Amino acid sequence: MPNIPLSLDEQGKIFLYIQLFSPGIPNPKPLKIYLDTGASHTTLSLKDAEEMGIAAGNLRSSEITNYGYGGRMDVRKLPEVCMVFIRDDKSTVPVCMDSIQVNYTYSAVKKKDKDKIVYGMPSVLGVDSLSRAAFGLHVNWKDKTAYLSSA
Amino acid sequence: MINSSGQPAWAAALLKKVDMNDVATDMEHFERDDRWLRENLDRLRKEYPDMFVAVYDRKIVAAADALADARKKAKDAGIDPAKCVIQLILTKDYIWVL
Repeated sequence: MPNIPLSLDEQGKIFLYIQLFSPGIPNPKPLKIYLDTGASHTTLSLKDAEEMGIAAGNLRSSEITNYGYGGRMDVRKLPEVCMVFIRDDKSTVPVCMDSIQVNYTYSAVKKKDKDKIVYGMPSVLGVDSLSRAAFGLHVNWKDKTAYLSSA
Repeated sequence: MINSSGQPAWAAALLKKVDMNDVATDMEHFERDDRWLRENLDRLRKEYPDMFVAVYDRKIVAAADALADARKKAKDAGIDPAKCVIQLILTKDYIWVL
């Protein structure tokens, strides 16, 4: 069975490429997203949201209060989102969520260039999506190889 | 409402409009350009410090201080920004605690 390939960056963080579709996404495009098994919710970065034409400021706030190491986050809710993953044989796996989060936090980084730093923050694929897809996660940090298995 | 493919009805309607072959092709292209960007990051940090760059076909096609401007420059150059890898080239390495 073909798998969904994952990549490890120079620090060993795991990332992959997906594409999102939603009635709330006017300009879908591929994106790079970091896999985060410590994050309960999949969250789009402000940069990725803007690139796809999502007006995050117009979205409803998430009912959940989100905290990161930088403090409380302003997080919005993007409803009805399908994520498309690609296997190594180029077949696709759609995974649809009732909603995902969009980061709308500008104030977490209190520095002169804070907005730029916020725009450098990545999107994260959280446990909610992995659970919904019922993926298996396989990582070998020695060989720097990783993949998601899907039924 | 869940349909026979296990997807909610809204998802089935949404995915019906998507050509998965196009998605796979675009994602492969995007991955190649992103890999090129990572391999050339040290050089790009010197040439485009703290700027947004747009990469297409393993070339820088636009650069600007703001994301919207980088997208516009790519479009003006005849390249669909949705096909580009656009990244902020931070001059410092930040540690993201995810």
